[in-house]
Amino acid sequence: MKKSDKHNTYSNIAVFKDYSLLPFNYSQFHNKELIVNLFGDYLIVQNGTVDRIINRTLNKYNDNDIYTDLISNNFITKETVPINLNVLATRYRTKKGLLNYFTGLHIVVPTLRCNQACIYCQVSHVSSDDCSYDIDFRTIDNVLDIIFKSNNPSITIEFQGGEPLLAFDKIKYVVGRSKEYIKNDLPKVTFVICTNLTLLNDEMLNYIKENNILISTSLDGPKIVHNKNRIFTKNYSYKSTVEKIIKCQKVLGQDRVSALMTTTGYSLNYWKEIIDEYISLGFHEIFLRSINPYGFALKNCNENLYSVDDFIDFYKKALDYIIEYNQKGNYFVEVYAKIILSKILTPFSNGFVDLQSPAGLINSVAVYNYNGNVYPSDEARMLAEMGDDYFLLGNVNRDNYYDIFYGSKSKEIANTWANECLNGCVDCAFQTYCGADPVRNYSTQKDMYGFRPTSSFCKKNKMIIEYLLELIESDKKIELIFNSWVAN
Amino acid sequence: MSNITNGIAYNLENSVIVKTIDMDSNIVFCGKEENRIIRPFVIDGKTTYGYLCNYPLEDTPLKTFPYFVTKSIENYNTGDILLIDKSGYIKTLYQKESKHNYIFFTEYCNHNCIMCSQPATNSENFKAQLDINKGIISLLPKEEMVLGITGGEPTLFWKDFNEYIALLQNNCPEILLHILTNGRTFYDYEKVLDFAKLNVNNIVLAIPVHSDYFEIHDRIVNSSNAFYDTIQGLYYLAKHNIRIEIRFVILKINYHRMVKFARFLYKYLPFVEHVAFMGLEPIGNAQNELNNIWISPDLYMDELEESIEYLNSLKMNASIYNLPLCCIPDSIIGNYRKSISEWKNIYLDECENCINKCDCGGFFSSAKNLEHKYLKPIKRS
Repeated sequence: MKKSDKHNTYSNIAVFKDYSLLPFNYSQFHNKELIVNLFGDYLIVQNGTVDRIINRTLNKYNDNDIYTDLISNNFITKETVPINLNVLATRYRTKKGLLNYFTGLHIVVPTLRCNQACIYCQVSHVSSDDCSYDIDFRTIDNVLDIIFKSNNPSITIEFQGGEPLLAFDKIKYVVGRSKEYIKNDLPKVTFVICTNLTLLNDEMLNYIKENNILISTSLDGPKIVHNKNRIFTKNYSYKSTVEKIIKCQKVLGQDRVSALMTTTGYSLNYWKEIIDEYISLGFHEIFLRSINPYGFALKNCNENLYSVDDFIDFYKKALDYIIEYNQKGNYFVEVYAKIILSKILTPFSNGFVDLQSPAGLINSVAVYNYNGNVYPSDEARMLAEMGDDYFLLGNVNRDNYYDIFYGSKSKEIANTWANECLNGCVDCAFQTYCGADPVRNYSTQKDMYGFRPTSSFCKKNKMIIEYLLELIESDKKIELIFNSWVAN
Repeated sequence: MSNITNGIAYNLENSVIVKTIDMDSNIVFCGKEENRIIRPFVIDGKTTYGYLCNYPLEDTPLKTFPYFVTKSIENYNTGDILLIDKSGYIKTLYQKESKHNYIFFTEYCNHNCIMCSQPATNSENFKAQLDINKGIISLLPKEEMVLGITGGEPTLFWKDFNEYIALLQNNCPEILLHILTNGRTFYDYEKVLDFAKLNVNNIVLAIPVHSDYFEIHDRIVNSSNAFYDTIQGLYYLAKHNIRIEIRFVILKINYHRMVKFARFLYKYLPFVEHVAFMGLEPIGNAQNELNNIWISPDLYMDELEESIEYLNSLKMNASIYNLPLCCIPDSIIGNYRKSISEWKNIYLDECENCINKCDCGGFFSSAKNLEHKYLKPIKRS
């Protein structure tokens, strides 16, 4: 490294002089400096400190507090090889714990058919009577053979669509056959149906209860927002969904039903009403999701496209409102904040597949389409539905496990799935709190590597992470609330 | 338990370990005078009997049995295990009614903590101590109970220690052992593997970590590399799911990093099942170092509150030991434990009318002469 390089990542290459450097990244943070170590522990220090750390002008006696903080938090070490290297290795391993096992989340698409026509649909719905878009039994058998090759002791099989309830016989077949793979209670298998609930009848509900299946539905907020986003005959979408949510909560239990919201341009003004809607339905969390630039979302540009700044404005107002609600003694979580906070505030790894490094693609999630095609994520499948099969890993009826998950496409994706190795991420202070998303890069920037300065993914995450750090630093009581969100 | 009473031993040739038994279940000659008390005991778990009494038995049929005359006979209850020495003293080894029973394993130690309440003299006969401890095992009740193992550093004689714990668990399968150790032994992974072969579900290792910064911890325990060795040992123990309690004694030289310690604990040692923040017992080494280590509790309550609130919010199990109740802020009162052993706690004069006295652990008797300006007794109206 030349002396003039303005590179802001430092590794342990310096010669020992009182102390050696351990890997950390830094960034300016409101007239101070934010430094983050390999495990996501951060310190906020006076301006100029980073320079003094690396130039060895920091002194144990004159700068005792910062010196001891840096040693204790493993930013620097007294030895050339840290005496506690095993401890550091364990902490790093714990942070990357998601890599302990192969894929745990397996998304199965029993049908592409749907009875709704949502303005942001990411899968390009087909009408509800075209059976050529249903999975067949032979394909299911092959999908299950591949799913249960994973060594993960805990497997989740999630049914996506289309509307999976339109192919309920296929769901029953998957659930029934899965039991044949379980030996001595392993793996533990969790089933989730992602459904708009409108077609749910008592017979289905009984089956869902008997088989301990989780329900994940879509609720965009109060009637005015939900019906605008999720088009259904005669505007009954909201009424029908809410009635069914309440029924499911009653029959299956409050904790067996969750809901997801998608933020459209239309939602932006309704942050308060959307949260109130979730609270009034008895939910303890909400996931404020920005729209994904795939599928119909791109076609219906006017309703859907809003700037990152608009979304962040919406997100901050909503998060403030949620924190206020928590400060009154309630427990209500914003899920995206929780995902990032768990990276900032805990020593553990978390299982959210969209914000990981290495990316969740293949490592944590695989998607099996109705026709047997396998994709590394749901977003990759959405691209395929739009006619771009770039991320196709293989087909369960044609290829074996190794061809699919260790084939040339997987290897190609692996080149760009770690943000430790991406320009713009490698030296970012938020690296450990963020993730890599080659599919997003490909769809928005035309290549998997991506270009951070114009990446909306990068901009959005940076703004949210920075805001969360601001909140933590602004008020100890807010940190305690955040801790309660991430505590196991 | 260092509860020692003097008296006179009769018909004893050696020291014996005895267990007092129920009066009614035995044929005993009871004294004619009202204030004469006799307590029978068994010796070594066999069928040999003897007696504790508060008067000589020469004029009774029991005069040929081993017996011991003491004025403090009311201190001894059924089920207590005692060491009776022929030279004329009784030492209580196990008190049936107490929740604070400890087996004193050895006084040798590889640390010399600045605030140690029982500093090692390195003069004991370890084998004799081991014999006493082995004698206790056969007399211990078989039911579920908690027993502490302490020292010195009990793991120092590793082979004896390991065998002893195995023997103890074998004799009393339901016993929960709470072992006070500085944890350094477990820096040796081979020893962790040995230890993991015991029934570790019923063992908690209580290990002190006094700072997040190595130099402060090393200085407190008077041993270099202690911090990093201990932390490494904790990781080895955690790898085998061995139950761990961390102990942090609050001193003038470490309280200012208490919040940072709490953060360190969650980030580096999230696997521990319990952490105790402890007031200082100003006895032993602590007495000599008092000016350097004693800090009035009211001066660190902000730090303690922030630390405990932080750990509570992350669902870590934290306790406050060895402090008077009235100095603890309401927000963390749920973490307060009445922890000082009943044989060494006291209350001050101003505590006499406090309505919270029965929930309060009071003070170490050794802290009697320190200033207690922060006390806020709540008077009965």
